[in-house]
Amino acid sequence: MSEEISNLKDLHISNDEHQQPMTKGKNGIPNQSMTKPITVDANTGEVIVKKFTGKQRIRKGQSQEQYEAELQHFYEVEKGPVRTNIGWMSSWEEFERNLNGLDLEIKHNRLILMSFLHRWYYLRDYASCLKACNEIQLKYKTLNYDEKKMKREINEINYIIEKCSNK
Amino acid sequence: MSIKVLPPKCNRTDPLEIIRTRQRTHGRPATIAGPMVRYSKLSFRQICRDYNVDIVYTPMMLAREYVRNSQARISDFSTNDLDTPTIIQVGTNNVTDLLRFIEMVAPYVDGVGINCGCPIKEQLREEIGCALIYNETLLVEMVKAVKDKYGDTLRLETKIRIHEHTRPERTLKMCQDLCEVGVDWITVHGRLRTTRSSEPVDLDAIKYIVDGLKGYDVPVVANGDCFTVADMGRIADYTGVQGVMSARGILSNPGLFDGYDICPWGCVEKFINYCMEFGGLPFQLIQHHIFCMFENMRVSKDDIRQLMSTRNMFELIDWIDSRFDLKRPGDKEFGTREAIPYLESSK
Repeated sequence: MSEEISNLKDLHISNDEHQQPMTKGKNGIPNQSMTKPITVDANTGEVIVKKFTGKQRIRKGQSQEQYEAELQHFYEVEKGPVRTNIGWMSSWEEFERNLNGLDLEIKHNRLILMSFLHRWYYLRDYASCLKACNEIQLKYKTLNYDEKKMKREINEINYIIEKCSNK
Repeated sequence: MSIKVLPPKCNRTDPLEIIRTRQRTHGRPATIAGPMVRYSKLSFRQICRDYNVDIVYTPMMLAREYVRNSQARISDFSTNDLDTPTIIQVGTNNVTDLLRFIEMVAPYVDGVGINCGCPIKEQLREEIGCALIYNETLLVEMVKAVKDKYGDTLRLETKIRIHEHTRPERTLKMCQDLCEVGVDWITVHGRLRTTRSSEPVDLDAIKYIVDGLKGYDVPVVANGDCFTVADMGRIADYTGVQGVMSARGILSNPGLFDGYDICPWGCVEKFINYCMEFGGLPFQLIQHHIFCMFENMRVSKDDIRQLMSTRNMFELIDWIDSRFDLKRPGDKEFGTREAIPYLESSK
């Protein structure tokens, strides 16, 4: 336990200082007093928050080194926020790049692949949609996935293969 | 480690300039689509812009998560070349996380808004959202820290609720303190933390704040109960605000600031197209957006039931195509029709 936190053992939060009376309860809505966060370390953003029940929770800080690592990842790996201009999913190469480059254990990445299928289906390009479905199905077979967790997605792909085959 | 941090967006569309000048240039207040948890994603922001919305907010992002977690960054915020002017809304309870969050996002947005209005208890518990209006010292300290660092290169807004009805003196004092440290504009939701959305917004309280800030060159935006252009005019005339923000109203009718009292069909077509083009939105979210628009358009309960029974995006597209004449880009009349184009065969 850090020195700052151990010092907090004897910390007393007075009603005057940290609990401010608000408007009276009305229409059955309870009047919950609000508390203020207690800064443990201003340099890292570590704070103690106090729940309505009175329980205290520490929200850990982030050291300068940890933040700089995130910042570097943000600039160099993520290349800033995700950018999706109109037409970004229009090429087959982009689909393959995502299929082969994304970590498909992550749900959000699988959602991106599904977005390619949605777009082709919506634009009535059923041939591309079917071709992509088959590639995704093959790729999923190489993954060590939890079948229960991905059941919905697998069913969706099966559904769309059937629909596209009949169009 | 030495990282060259990018400066705030240099070619931004200045939201403060828009708020200050809309009355003079367009004869109306600035129109603003407010931040909505889950909903104000890129596709929705874009559809708002197609219907006369000047400024659009992102949903609230937690600074704490954004600066620590790559997956949170990827799923919370996506943007593109058309996504401007955009205000990114942040939920935070300390200066360090806020400054780090802004350092990361400032090159990609036109301004940052601190959420001081969210009343949900999970956020209040973390001293985020509406909790901040009861901790004026911290809120003022946060605004000061940001403005001291960035000055006019970054626009910073605070979206607050009121402390009490009619003459909210504590709220006015807080707003004056925020003005002193350089906040660029203040959005006032005319409800208390505990007021339900079914209760009318307190326009007297908003007017009281507008009047009380006359000595400062800081515009006020009114939020609450704006469902039509007539509401916008009434709110602006009564309170004297320079901008009007809609959230629930624009969710069910993104065309409201363009004079549509009921969501036009073309809006549904364009929204679906944006969702398909930008990608990355969960199906349930798209389904719920369409549900909100359909309710506003008075689509029958039976149709809404069928919409909600679709289980994935493909079923949803198939169902809409079986019931309505859904145009795609390149089709004649895409995005332009007002009335619901039921298919003869489905009647």
